[in-house]
Amino acid sequence: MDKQGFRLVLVLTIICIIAGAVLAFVNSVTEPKIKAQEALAMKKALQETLPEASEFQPDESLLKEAQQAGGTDLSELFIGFKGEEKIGVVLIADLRGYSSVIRLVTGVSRDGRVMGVKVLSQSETPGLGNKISEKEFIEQPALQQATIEEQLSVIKDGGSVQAVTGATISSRAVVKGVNQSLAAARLFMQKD
Amino acid sequence: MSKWQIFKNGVFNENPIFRLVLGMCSTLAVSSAVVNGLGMGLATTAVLVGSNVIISLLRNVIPKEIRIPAYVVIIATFVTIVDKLMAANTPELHKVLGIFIPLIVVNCIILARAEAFASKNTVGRSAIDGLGMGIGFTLALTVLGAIRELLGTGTVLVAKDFGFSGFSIFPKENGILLMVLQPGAFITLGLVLAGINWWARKKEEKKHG
Amino acid sequence: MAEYLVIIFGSIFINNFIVSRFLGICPFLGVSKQVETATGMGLAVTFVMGLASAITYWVQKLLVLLNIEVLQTITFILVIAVLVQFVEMVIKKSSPVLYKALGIYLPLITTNCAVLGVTLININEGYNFLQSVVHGIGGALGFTLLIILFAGIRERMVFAPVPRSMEGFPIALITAGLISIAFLGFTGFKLNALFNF
Repeated sequence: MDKQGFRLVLVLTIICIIAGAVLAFVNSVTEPKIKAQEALAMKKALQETLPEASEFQPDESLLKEAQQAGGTDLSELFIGFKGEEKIGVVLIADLRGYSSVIRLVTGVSRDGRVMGVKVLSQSETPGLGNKISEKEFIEQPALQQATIEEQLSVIKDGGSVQAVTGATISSRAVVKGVNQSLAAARLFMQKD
Repeated sequence: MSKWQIFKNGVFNENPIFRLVLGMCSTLAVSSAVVNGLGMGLATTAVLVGSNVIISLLRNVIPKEIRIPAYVVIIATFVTIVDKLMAANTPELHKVLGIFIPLIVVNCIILARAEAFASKNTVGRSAIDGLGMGIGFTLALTVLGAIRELLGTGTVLVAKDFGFSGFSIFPKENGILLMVLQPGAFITLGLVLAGINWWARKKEEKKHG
Repeated sequence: MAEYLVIIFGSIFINNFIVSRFLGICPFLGVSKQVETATGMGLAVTFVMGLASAITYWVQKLLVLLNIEVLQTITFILVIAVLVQFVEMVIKKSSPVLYKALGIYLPLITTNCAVLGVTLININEGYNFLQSVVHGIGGALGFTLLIILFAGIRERMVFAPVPRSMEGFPIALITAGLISIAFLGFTGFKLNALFNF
């Protein structure tokens, strides 16, 4: 390679190395913070959907069992403790909505009542599907006061959940997530 | 050109969106609300200033033949830094803007300023040029975001990251849904551009009597 | 088979790259003034997007393996830039006719955000290799359909009396908005039901 060509490659390589080093540094600073943010958001969601618990612990084996029993969209399962006592279970489901993945958190108390349902994240169509995060939908009694004996469905499908107008697909996804969570909570209650 | 003129040029005379019509993808995609537009605008401004400064610093070091790949690497580095900082500090906004943050790399404004200005000017002037263009971009995005958010939802300035629920101007049932959906982006920008053309022509006619 | 049909039709009609995802707007507004040039651009983009989807799938695997995902944006844009150069060289040598037809569009493709966009969406959606390639090609076909459609309308618009302030970009954007409204009609199509015969 001639001298000029060598110089071109050298300059470009140096620029790339410096860029890589800078990014490695930035990553080392921001990565822990991003992880902490996610953990904080998760903790907050758990606390909101099962307010009485003071501590949460993941339970992998129960999650596997629930997934095998039909809860295919469930991605995480936490057992809520108040002191030593197990007082309920919180389930996180990732559901295929209309144009995004809806992350849903459902807390169920040990006596089989829903303590809270919350959409953790979604990017459904603005003005339509994204209304599933608004309190008119997500805080309706049919969802928030459901019990584990129930099998929920939207009004259009013969159930009692009022779907968001023009966003049946997003609403159905939420209902599906709650149903799977209720089924998992049933497993949890049979266990102890 | 004085430094003030360089700045003013970026914000008004050569406003990237309203006058040069550059960077349309992110403009249309994120102008659905004031905060989205503002966030995207500031992110782009940070990248513009950063890449302009570094490229101007290196303008005598980078050989002509490889300037474009070198610029792209420098711009992509700044984009990744902004991306990571936003993920760490404003997670909600980061989620809403989604792939449009990494896509700042291919925003034509940035490469255009690197090629047309930063590679020929001093560091100070390049920084001001980046700032002016960035603020011009931000201003335009904010105006578009305000129009669409207000007409579409009846509320402006909803900012989840800062726990602010916005100013409600009229009930949201009366909002025009189309404005926050995709067609609203095209139509709003089209009408605003037409308005600016009309205004610019009036001014021109006045000058020539 | 059904899942690939869902991806293709989804990326052409429901999540069309231009009117629904807002990717590739610059060439959409810039190049699409004549049907012929629009077709050329569309073909070139389809080729590059399919190839870019395939290559970045393995690049991402490598980045994850080395635990340097922070370099994703840089490597993807460089891969695309090199790819476009490479495609240009190959076409120039192998088919002068094709080069004459596509040549002038190729350098423009590097800064077409649809290409970088599709590679990032592939990763976010967690598509496997084949799904990524199919999505890349489907997205590009949607892009091509739109720029040809739009060029057809604009060829006629030349003869229409447009108010002076609306000439150029404003009327083009409003036309695009109307096409976008038409495409909203595809929203809610149940592709899964359609293809699971």
